[in-house]
Amino acid sequence: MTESDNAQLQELRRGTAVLACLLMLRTAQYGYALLEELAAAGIPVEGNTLYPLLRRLESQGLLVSEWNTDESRPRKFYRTSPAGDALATVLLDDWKNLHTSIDRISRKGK
Amino acid sequence: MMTTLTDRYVWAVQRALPEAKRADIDRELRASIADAVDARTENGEPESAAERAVLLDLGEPTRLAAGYSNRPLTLIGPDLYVDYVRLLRTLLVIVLPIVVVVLAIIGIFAGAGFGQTVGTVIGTTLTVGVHMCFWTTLLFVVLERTGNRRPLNAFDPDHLPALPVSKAVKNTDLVATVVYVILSIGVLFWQQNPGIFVTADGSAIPVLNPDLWSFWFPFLIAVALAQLIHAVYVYRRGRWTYALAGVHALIQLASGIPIIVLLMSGRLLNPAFFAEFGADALMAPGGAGNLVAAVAIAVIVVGASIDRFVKAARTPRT
Repeated sequence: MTESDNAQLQELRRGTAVLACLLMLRTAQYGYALLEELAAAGIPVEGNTLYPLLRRLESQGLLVSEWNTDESRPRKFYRTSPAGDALATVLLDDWKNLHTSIDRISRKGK
Repeated sequence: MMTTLTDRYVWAVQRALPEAKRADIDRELRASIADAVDARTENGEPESAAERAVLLDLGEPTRLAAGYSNRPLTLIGPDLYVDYVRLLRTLLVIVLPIVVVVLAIIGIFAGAGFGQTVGTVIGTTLTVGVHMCFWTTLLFVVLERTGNRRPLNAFDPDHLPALPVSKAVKNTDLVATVVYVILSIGVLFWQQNPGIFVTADGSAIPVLNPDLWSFWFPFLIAVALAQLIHAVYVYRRGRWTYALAGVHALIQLASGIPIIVLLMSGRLLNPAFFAEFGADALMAPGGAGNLVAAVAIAVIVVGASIDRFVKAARTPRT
């Protein structure tokens, strides 16, 4: 894969991190664990992208957070808010539509 | 307690954050780093190498802090860049030359010498130019950071510039004519008063024959102004036509022929000037320098006239 292929892929994936986070965080999770889960689910996101992204989504009211101090290492848990859930539904619908459209276009060419 | 790389990293991130966000981000970032380090040491990596690798992955702390505080990592972002360049170009291409020419003319009338005037032109061009660049940039950097990132001028299709009919008339042509006309008229007045050369007793002595002020100098000034108006008209028209080239040639001849005739008949230069400074064999009336100057003027006049007809010929008909 060439350098420019890589750039195109990044361009295509931009925005999917937000949708993946909103969907994933319907069960509360903390930063590093979410990073691992996303990577395991095939959506690798860099920590320096994900951590600021979580804060941004929280400040936009799409996520809510809570500190969990039960364990020795206090962690900030994020959860998708009702507004975030509504947005996730919209984004997911669009994602599916896009998939259908791209699929149809790719078939046409054959 | 020894400070760790993590301590130093988190501190570097915090330093670039607004006060209100610091404590919370500090706590969360430390936990995230510790989690990532743990994951690596569980795979058998030594702790110090793991910490290093985790911090390398997180990257430049200032960049991370900018992500946290949603601060732009550009001096002037894409929203304002177009306005920035447009304003800067207007200032440097239009306002700066006007300021410099006005200051130079004021200096000339205030009695500045030639060297002093050249110094003023170079000095003000640099000083005013640097000021224009600096303050404009600062203004846009502040706008970029105070949240107003909407473009200053909303794009309106009606304001699109008209298509140039040809590239025949460049704005550099217009600027060159304007500068040439202003300088010519300025020098004409300047050599008369306050004067470029002074006699031993300190009074100014004009190089050009003061008798010509009765008719020929006002006439030549009028012709120069006509040339200016013509140049502006051609620029606005955007192209050379044969008629415009013809008018241009007439204007050139209207100034070139009188100057050549006056020069060759020994009436252009001031006899008193040569009486004061001694007759120069070349430039004194009848000297060979006069002929050289006359030929040079003729070449320029004819050359410039032909050039405009060539431009008119190259302009596609519409």
